[in-house]
Amino acid sequence: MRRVNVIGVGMTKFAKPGASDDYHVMASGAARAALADAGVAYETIEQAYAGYVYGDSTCGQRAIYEVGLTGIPVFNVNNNCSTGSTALMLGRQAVAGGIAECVLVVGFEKMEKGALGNKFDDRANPLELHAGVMGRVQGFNSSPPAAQMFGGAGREYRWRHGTKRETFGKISEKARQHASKNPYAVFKEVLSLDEIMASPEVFDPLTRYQCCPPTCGAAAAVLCSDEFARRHGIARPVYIAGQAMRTDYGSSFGDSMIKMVGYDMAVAAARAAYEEASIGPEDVQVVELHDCFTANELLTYEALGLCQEGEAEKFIWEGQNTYGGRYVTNPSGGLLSKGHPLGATGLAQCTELVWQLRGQAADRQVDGARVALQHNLGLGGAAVVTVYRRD
Amino acid sequence: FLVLQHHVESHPELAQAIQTVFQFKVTGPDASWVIDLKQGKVYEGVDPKADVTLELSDADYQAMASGQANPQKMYFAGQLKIGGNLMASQKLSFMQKMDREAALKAAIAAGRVQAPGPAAPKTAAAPAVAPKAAAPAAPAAPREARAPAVLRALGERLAQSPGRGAELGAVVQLRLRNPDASWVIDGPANAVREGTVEGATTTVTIDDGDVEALISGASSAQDLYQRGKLRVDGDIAPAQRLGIFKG
Repeated sequence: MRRVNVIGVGMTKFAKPGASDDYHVMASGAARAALADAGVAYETIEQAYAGYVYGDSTCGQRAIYEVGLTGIPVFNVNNNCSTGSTALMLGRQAVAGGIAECVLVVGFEKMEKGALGNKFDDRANPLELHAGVMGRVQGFNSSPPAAQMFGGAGREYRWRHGTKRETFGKISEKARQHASKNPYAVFKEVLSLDEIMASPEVFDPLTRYQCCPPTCGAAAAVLCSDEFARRHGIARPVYIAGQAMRTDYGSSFGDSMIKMVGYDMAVAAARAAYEEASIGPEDVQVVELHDCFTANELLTYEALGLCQEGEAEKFIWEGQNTYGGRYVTNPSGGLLSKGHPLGATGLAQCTELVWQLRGQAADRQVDGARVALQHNLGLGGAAVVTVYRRD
Repeated sequence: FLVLQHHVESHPELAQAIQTVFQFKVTGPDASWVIDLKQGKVYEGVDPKADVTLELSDADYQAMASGQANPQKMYFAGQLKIGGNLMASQKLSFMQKMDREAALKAAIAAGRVQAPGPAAPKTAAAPAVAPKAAAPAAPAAPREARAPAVLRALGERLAQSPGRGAELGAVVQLRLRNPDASWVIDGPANAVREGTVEGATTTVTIDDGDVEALISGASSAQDLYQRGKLRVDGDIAPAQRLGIFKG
């Protein structure tokens, strides 16, 4: 497999539902920003991958046609919340496998207000196997289903390890701190832990500020081979050192909420990505991970090996997950504060990490960032873990 | 709903014949129940694939379930809202055909519901050991507290087993709901008393109706907690040890 470089990235400022441009405007804006960042004309792009979850077929083309009409292959991709990094992975495979020299990957989402739900009720719900676990172990109530699932995983963890509720809340406190320095984030207002804990409970232990909001936005990346980078005079590009996707194992459908929301997929994807990159978690300085709910961020610290199993509470209260600690997790503010447009998130994470490795992250810059880790998760499901480096 | 649950589970031919999933959304008190007559199950929750959704007040549900009220009439009177497949709602007639008395007796015999006391309403959908779904048919009357008897009995058992309480390792504040009350399980003192304690390191919030299951061991603390029926604030470990009192 050839090495794949990320030579251009770009994203729109994320916005609340109803307050954004239409999807094709956002997506083409992000695409143009990534192309400009790469210094590459659209005509040079050989293939395009467009990730989105909600929309009719061929939204990718509608978006990309705003940038150019060159007849290239366009692939529309979805994998729930891991759509963005799924598109990224497909783009990478095309370049790594020698099928293309330079590809464009774009992710976008125009979301409605309110919790995630199903559009088609006349056919099998793709999450019915996952919902079955919840039905057996926990039951259902009228809270948003995603909050019940991830909150339930948080419950299970809390029972096992005696975690304080405030520990989960502290993750949002950090997210807001980081987002306050991110001009692309939706929620930049710093919140105290007290304010976070006092917000209405959505599903114990999750309070409102511990749940990511529906968001609109787009992000994009340009990927290319070493040969292409050389020909275009691009020196020291950020490159993908390792990447893996894993989907559900049988263990997702037993009697554990933690496993149902993708813990084992994340562990396996991380292991494979670390192995490909020939590194371990100790070699990483900066991480963008899937903090759709604070509970998932806590679980993911352990899944990615940033701390030992059972140690997440200590890790959090010692500040090992932010500036001054062992890692900076979600310097962008994460899904919690930057926002979570489903199709865009994976590419927004990529954008932040590329900026970090290039030293272009302004007030959010992590000192000495040389190896970056990305974790993007979608229930249904898929977990994609990517390791970026810059020599 | 629990009587119906027992009835449906003991009559698999019902599901075979009816082949419909009904989603009930009841208000006052609010609850969602699924009567799944494809798989022959009745459970509290939401089935996004239900064929038909019915929304009505708890009191109206009681009336419908007891045969006192006709769903068609209720629908046209605006007391019953139907979403989804309207035709499927007609299959609810099985409820009218059900022998309520026999079903209630069977459910009591199977331990699914408590036998109603003399003042209890005629309709059977008033389980005493159940999630908060179906309240007694007189909504204004407060629920009779069952936990105090259970807790006093626990206190008596502890008095006969010195040192048993020490295994709990803490003073646990119980906040009971529905009806509201406060009790203390004092591990080190091996005693149970009504009231509150200053500076409790563990507070457990639980419905009065769930206390018996918790103390007897019929439901584990973990299961109740995961289902949102038991809340723990403070140190979780003592709550995990509440199972030591079973038997």
